[in-house]
Amino acid sequence: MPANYIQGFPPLDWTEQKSLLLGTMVKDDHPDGLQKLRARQFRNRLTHVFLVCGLFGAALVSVCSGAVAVTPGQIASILGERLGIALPWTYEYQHELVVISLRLPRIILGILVGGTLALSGAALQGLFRNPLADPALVGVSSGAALGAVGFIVLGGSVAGLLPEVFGPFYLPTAAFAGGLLIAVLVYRIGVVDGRTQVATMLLAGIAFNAICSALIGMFVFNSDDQQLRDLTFWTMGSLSRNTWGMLLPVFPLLLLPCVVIPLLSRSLNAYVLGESEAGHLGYNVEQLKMLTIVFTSLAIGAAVAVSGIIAFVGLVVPHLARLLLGSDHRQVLPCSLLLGAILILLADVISRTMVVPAELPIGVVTSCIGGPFFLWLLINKRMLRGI
Amino acid sequence: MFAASGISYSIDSARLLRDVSLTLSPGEVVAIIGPNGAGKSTFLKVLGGEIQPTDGIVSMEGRNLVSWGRQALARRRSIMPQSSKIAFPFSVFEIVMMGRSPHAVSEESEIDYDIAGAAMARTGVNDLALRNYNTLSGGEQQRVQLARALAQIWTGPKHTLKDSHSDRYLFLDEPVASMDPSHQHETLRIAREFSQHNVGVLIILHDINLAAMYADRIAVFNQGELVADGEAVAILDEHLMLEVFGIHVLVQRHPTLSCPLIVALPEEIAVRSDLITARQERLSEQARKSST
Repeated sequence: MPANYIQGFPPLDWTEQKSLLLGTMVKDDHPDGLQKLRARQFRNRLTHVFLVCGLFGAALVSVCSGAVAVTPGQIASILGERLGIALPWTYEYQHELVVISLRLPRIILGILVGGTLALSGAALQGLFRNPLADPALVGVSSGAALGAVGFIVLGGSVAGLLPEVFGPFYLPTAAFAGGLLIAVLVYRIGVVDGRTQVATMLLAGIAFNAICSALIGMFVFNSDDQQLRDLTFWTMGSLSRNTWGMLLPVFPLLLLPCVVIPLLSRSLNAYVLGESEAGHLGYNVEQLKMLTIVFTSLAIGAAVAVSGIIAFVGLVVPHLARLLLGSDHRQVLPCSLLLGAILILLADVISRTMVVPAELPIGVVTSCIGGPFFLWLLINKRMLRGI
Repeated sequence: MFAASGISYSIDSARLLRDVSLTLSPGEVVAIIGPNGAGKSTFLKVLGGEIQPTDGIVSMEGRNLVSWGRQALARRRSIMPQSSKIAFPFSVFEIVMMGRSPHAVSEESEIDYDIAGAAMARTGVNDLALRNYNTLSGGEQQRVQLARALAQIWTGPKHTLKDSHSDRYLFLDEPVASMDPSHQHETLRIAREFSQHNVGVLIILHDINLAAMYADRIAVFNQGELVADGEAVAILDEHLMLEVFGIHVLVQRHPTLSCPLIVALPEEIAVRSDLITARQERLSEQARKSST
């Protein structure tokens, strides 16, 4: 600015501001919040330790309860013998059979399925920037169920053409492909000009849900009694396909997302600010979207392939995690993983012990608990505060 | 230097930007003004690399923007968006810390905490540190976003980041839209302060007087074109304001500062503005006479 624009008035001296030199401000002005933040970080770590303990506790409860009751001591003996350590508790052959070939694979399956469902739910909520996004609601689960059912009914005619060696992988792959297809379609429809249109996305999910359910119904209509019983399996969910042979092929498919998705937590945090804002912070947004969609579809597809659609876990658990630890995805993702696993294990215990010797579908249990709980959250408004 | 040369951008048949060339040097504050739909925000999107211009080149330090690595670029150029809601209840401190993410490879360090704290202190959102961002008022949210943008390019004396003392750029998209007057001025003071530390600041503003008071240069956009670019004194006059904004104004001298003061006039008075100017000149002449 020319200094002589008005004679006699010196231009405003910006250098007065130099007392507020950027560097000198750094030390003195700690926010009050920093101490509290440190305390919160400590509390977060503590919560994770508790959750890990809780997971072991839930696994122990799960392995002990059921039609055949087994004491913790007997389990220690059974596991000890496998490792060559003799422990004082006595058990019968029947106990060993139940624990090793039925309950252990079931528990591992439960942990992986519950963990990946909740983790995928949390990641999808982050990606859609919407607290209502859920594997089931956006149609990925029913897409995966459709893939699996379609393969069971139609697969017989194709199976002869495919190599026998990969046999166990076909069903999970079909489920995965179904889930991925729906995820991509929903995302394509829901995102217009680079902006996620929440209502469109959810409505598209509902439409795909309806379409998939109708197609599943058609497949089931054309199937025999045994396949009819399977309908319950796919729509209500169950951990009853608990054999090591069933578990092994999906094990890597479930484990991989558990490793990869938490790595995205920092980018998901930035993505909450908005797509372009995340880009301005130096994140590769396209890559983030791609990785999230592929790995959540992988997780959900694999989970549905072995356990059917287990409702509400992917929706409710991330909200619980946020209530416990705040919205930072670095906390929410691992916490969801642990909480989801714990909840599935406990729900499975209920489903196995309520109507012995029969079994309730686990989806009935999760919906019975999850539905009212979610309503309570809504009414309490704690979860929705600021959303 | 941040330079945009010959930028054109069109969607379908609509030309949103037409051959715009603008440079921004470290140490200067440039304000962009113009009516709604003049292409200001589109231009900022081009500068931010969000959209690729149909024609023209954006470069930073002489290198085409697309050849910069994402992180290297993010460490030297930060953008404050227009007000934005977020989907989940993040705390203010968490939001500001996100500005440090281009610098923190895996976990944030002590330095990042310090800088986020200092940035919040500077924009006066210290007391809000643990509040839920979404429960803040619009003006408070803008100050938080400003703190985040500042934290992103903040450097202090003890920081030894590789490119910490190089030139940096700060783009603000209507940063003061929801702020009260005192925070509006404070925000622009911050912009000037940063400009003295090797930062080139580009601000989209609607308040022409703010722009005239704080900016070294004003760039005026109209219908996708850059119609004027220069010091406030040199470019702001009644004709430009009528042509670009369609309002009648009186361009006065600011009573205490060396910048013009724009006073809007209702249309019925505007036609008599020549009389007003004449009267003012007469009054000031009388004042001068009586003082001598």
